Amino acid sequence: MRRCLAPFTLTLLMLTTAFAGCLGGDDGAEPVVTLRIISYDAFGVTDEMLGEFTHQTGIGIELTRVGDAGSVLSSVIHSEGTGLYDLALGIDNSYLGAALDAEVFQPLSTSRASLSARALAPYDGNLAIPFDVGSVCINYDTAHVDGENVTVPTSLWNFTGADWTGKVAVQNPRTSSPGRAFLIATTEYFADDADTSTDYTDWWSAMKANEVIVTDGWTEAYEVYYSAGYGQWNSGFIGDAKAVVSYCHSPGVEAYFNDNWTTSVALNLPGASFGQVEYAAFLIGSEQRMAIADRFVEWLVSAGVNSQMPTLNYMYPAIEGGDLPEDAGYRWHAVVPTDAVVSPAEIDENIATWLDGWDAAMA
Amino acid sequence: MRPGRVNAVGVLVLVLWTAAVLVPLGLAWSQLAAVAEAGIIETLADFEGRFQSQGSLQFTFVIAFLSTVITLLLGVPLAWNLGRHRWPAHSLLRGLFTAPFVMPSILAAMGFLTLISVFESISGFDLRSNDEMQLAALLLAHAWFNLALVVRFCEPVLATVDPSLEEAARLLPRGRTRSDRLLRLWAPLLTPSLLAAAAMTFVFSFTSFALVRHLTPGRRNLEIVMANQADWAGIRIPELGRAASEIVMAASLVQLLTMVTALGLISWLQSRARRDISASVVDARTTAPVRSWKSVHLMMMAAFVLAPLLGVLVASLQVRQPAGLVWSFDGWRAAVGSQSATDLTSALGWSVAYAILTLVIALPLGFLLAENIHRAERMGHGRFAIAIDVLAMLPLALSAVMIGLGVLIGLLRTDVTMLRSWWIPAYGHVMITTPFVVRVLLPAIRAIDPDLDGAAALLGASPLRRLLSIRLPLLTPSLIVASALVVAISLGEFGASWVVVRFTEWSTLPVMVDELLSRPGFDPLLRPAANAAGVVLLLLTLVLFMMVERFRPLGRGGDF
Repeated sequence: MRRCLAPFTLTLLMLTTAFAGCLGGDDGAEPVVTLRIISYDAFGVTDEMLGEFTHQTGIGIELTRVGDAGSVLSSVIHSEGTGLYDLALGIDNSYLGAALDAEVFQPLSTSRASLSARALAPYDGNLAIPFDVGSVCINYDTAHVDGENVTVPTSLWNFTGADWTGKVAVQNPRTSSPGRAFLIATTEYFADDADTSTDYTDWWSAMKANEVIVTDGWTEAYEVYYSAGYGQWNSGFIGDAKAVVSYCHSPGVEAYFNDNWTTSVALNLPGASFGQVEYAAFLIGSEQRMAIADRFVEWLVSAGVNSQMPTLNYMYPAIEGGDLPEDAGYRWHAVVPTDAVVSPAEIDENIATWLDGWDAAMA
Repeated sequence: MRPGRVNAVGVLVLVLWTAAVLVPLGLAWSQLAAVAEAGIIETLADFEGRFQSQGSLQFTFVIAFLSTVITLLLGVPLAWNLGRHRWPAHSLLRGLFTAPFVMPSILAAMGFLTLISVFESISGFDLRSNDEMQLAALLLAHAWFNLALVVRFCEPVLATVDPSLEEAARLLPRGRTRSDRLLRLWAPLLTPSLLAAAAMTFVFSFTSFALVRHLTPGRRNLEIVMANQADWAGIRIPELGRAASEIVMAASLVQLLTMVTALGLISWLQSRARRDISASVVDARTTAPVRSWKSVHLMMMAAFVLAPLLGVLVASLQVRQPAGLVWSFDGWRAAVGSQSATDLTSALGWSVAYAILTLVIALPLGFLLAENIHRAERMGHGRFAIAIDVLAMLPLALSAVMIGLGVLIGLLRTDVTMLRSWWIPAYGHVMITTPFVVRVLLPAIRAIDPDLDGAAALLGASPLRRLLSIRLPLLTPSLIVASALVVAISLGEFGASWVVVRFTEWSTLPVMVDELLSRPGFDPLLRPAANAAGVVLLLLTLVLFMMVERFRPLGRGGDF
């Protein structure tokens, strides 16, 4: 009987040692308070930087990463009022209207004096503090758009022509944040153009007829289908798309990691891009005092940290005078376009219609 | 244990398990129903009309069916070849052929993609842009993944069929030719195991996620359709949650009905298979014909199983530079360093800790569930036994989205702090490993001679004494095999399904891989680092499986 129990005792022993080891492994003094933050998968602020913040302030950070901006908002709404998270990072202006409508944010007292006009354009209030910005637009491959056989598009309608049949990759706006941002831009673009007989649904129908490639996420569209992105070096690369919806500074990021070389260029077409602003927001139900949340958000928009957004988060800083670094052509290859202007309130009011319209056009 | 006696522990376990499986499902269901406006039939009728679900129903069924066919085509000859002969390093080979089944599917996808790109660069063919080639790759990957099921279900039967049976068949007029014997002797013997393996393969191909997403990027099966809607399903703001909730509800119903049917079939077939093979357990294997096409076949299959694993290794050593891909250890350096949210060593530590914790819970739990099933069978409640069996298997077949939503809602409503507790990931691990414990232990429990227990009882041994000195020692080999399976699956669990919220402090190895792969890959070290972590995971699993194979009793494992 004793022999039979030995393996169990051993397992239990191993178990307790394993956990004791992990739990006892905390180095340094335990922080007095812990701020629970939820953000998206791609949130790039490193553990070292967060550790530095804890060291300076005594405020511990627990970071949970979920999907994309939409996933952050849905997690926030699901856990509304429970205090599961204190702070949400990464809900953007395309979702801000819905978030404000759902009343899940409480005010912060972070000063917005140092933030740029571009960052404060969609929303300038104390419920959501911008920490980075960037524009979503079409990127194209100069190996395809050589200026002779295929010229640089001067209207989104060009993409419905034979030059681009099966060569444009976009994201499903119901499952991807850039896809959603671009859809919003197209609604405004086609509402504002000279032609009053057509709207965004006509363009999307024409794109569908022109065999546009639709993926569920940014990664697939950019990495698997886009011929001028880093994906060409990855296994699994297909490369059919000569144009893709991404950020207007994505070619800059390409160059930055590739010794100032890329064949990818952002299409500078007025009104055909969406200016995205990502926010930090203090959640209702948090047990933390506002001052604690403020400390973190102030740190996030402080010049030292915020100016690193281009290399950490692949986005522009939100602070006044913040820009991309000149290193390896990061800034040179980036484009700052004239974005479509659509307010969070307008988006909140119309997005359901736009998404249904898109679904109908693409089905 | 005498039939007819109500066992309090058994009943308690059954109730707890049922609650753990069905409560999240019920919670998710009620939340979705509260938001959805269109009914399930209405939504299904409109499935083809909506861009978000278009084509997915047909694709899911076709892929699951074709994957099953291909898996059987590749698996049956392998099981035959492996089962009828005594090969050098036999248990190592068996371990190797089982290992793919517990490999994280995202790594399998990475491995296959690397293989394809290596093949493309050597041959100059463009496989990836071709629709049919993408489908072929997906089917092959499903076959690779599920090969273990066919081997596991059929090989034990083949290895123990009394040789005198075949001798006798040869003498009979209708058993003289090879094809006659195949048709009249082997086919009836193997059919239950084959069908069970086929049904299991169908289940796993039906619910496949990572392989479909990466190998056929333009297509969606039901699991992907649901995952796409996961963010907004069940959100009680109609503009955000309505359409998503309707789609998830309809898709999950189709999936649930299909899966319960398949699992019921498996359970019924296996309770039949037992009667056919338990008569005699003799080693019927002949010495392996080492210099023959049979050993070539075996080596080719071994290469097929190993190739994607090598693909992951290759991918971990290739780093993109401006000039193109170069060989480098930088990915490994990044994985060990603090590039990621957690470094390789601490992730490895947590993986092992969770695997052990899972084992401590899942093994007794699975044992008690298997005992319950067996007891119900012996009491003549065949249907009840099948019902418990299906319930025990259900966590494998439920949609990750439904469970994720259900667990989240359940925990949020009861106690939020639970969501932050360290054991939440373990709950998920237990739910997906326990079904396998049941599958391994059930045939072993069935094979124990009931008279042994009865005799000991007559001699005055207490139930505990009988359990410890008769049943457990007899079950030891199967318990070891089950333990290895639990540990391997727990090590490879991605936390995507049953684990809703993950905090970086407790990141396991697979979570680390997943996290690295889900960031934009501008940084050239991300992918190699993820693959490096993957290689560590693969090696760990492979070694575990090859080591533990020795303990498997001959002819056992007819369930897994």
